[in-house]
Amino acid sequence: MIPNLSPIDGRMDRLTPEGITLSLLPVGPGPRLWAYLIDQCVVLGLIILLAMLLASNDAGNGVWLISMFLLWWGYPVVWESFGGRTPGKRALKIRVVRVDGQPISWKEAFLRGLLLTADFLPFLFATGLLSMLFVPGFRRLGDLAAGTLVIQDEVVADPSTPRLLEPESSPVPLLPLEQRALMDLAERSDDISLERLEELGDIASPYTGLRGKASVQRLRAIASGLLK
Amino acid sequence: MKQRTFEKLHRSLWEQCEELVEGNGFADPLKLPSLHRRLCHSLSLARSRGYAPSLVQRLHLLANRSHARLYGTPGEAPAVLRTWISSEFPRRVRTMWPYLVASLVAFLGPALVAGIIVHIHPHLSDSILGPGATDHLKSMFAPGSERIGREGTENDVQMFGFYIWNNVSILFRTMATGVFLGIPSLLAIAYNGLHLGTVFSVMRDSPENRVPFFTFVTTHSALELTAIVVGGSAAFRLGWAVLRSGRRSRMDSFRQASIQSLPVMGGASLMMLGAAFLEAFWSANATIEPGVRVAAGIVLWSLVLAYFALAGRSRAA
Repeated sequence: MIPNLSPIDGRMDRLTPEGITLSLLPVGPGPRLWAYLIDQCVVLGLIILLAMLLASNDAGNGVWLISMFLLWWGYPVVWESFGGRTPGKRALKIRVVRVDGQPISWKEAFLRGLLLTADFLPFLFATGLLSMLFVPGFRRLGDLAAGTLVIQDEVVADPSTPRLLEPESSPVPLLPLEQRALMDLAERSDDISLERLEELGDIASPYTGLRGKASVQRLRAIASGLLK
Repeated sequence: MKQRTFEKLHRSLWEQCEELVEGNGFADPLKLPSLHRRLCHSLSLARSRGYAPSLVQRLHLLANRSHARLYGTPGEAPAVLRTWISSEFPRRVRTMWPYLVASLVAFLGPALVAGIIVHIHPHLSDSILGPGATDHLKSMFAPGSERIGREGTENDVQMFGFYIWNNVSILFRTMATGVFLGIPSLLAIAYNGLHLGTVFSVMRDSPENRVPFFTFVTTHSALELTAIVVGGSAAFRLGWAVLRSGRRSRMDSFRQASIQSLPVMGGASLMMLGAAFLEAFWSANATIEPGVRVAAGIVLWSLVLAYFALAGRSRAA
């Protein structure tokens, strides 16, 4: 089962038995390429380091070839088997999960790792990129084989408690969506430039009956009223 | 209800959920189902009442994690590898017999053709193997050398590393490219067959190379040749699933095929690793009596064939 894909923000929604929608945020080729490059630097760095340590004699050469094999094929598989993240993915705050949002096991990791070769063909991940462009949720062939998805590892945004003003009541009853918009404005008004705030205040003037800064103050006062 | 009142009312619930999800508190895991249901309820309330996005986001992430905790399946322990090897792998190979036959034909067909052609026209072997390759091959299997099948005095460990890096990687690539309708895999297997068929034919027709060569290949070929054919069958399974998806969507069919051939791919890889080990440490060792090596080869061939024919047939296995 592949969850529905929201056309606006690309979130994948799934309806749970509790009757709520939980969503995942699939990650596109950009961050995944960066994560891959980081991992590749680590792998190549280790291979070169081992080459310097081991290449002194024939037996060392053999050990080097074995470790190169293990690093090349095993590195993504082993990392992803435990928590779905390679160091590169950890740095980019992305993670591999199954399409139903559950953590992956070594089976999925093995298939993903194996199919990486097919995704690379004919050159520089052309197949993987094409597949990501055409399959909902940016899935490469390895993802299709393993039934996985690379998602953004979302963290709880630190709720910057809006500075509470003297609460005012809304001139008209608000819909939940409108309430949400007001709360969003109040929570984020510290991050928005003054000029933009004034513009927003002007837009809201039919509702507040004021203009510019005063209108924004009014909106925040109403938001305070909603909060407390 | 104002948001702050709502938060005050549910704070202890959310904290309990957080503790359970983090797994570091003393919260009772048996409470998870009911806590999760209440958490989901509070999330939908927060959404429908238009509370602050930061609160909704926080609850959503918490619900996502407790959902994973509640409905997630424990990952299969690597101990399943044992059941894979003892029964799953040979069973899957047997159920995939049409692909196995196709792979066998793709391998043996070119091998036989090349073998017969080279037997009749020996000068053609260089056009198949490359200029000068035949003489090189004959020198590698010259009688009287301590290590057979090598250019000079390479160490066993070095050859082991080389066989692993080279042979197993080729097998991985052959299986992975099965997704492209199996065509690259078909070419790889057929090329392998062509090459090996020529080599076998050249060696058979050269009296002084015959004994060193065949005592060299008998043992590890039991694992290596079967791994190529079995790995090829997995690749063909993938390719056919994409080509003829039947009633499934192409994506779904591909997913199904890859899950089903996973034990086969894993098994073929393990066999290839075993072959690399034997080839490096056993086959090339001319100090072991040729008779012993041939006997070991015959035993191993029978074991491998018996394994694929018989293992995992009993219900209990």
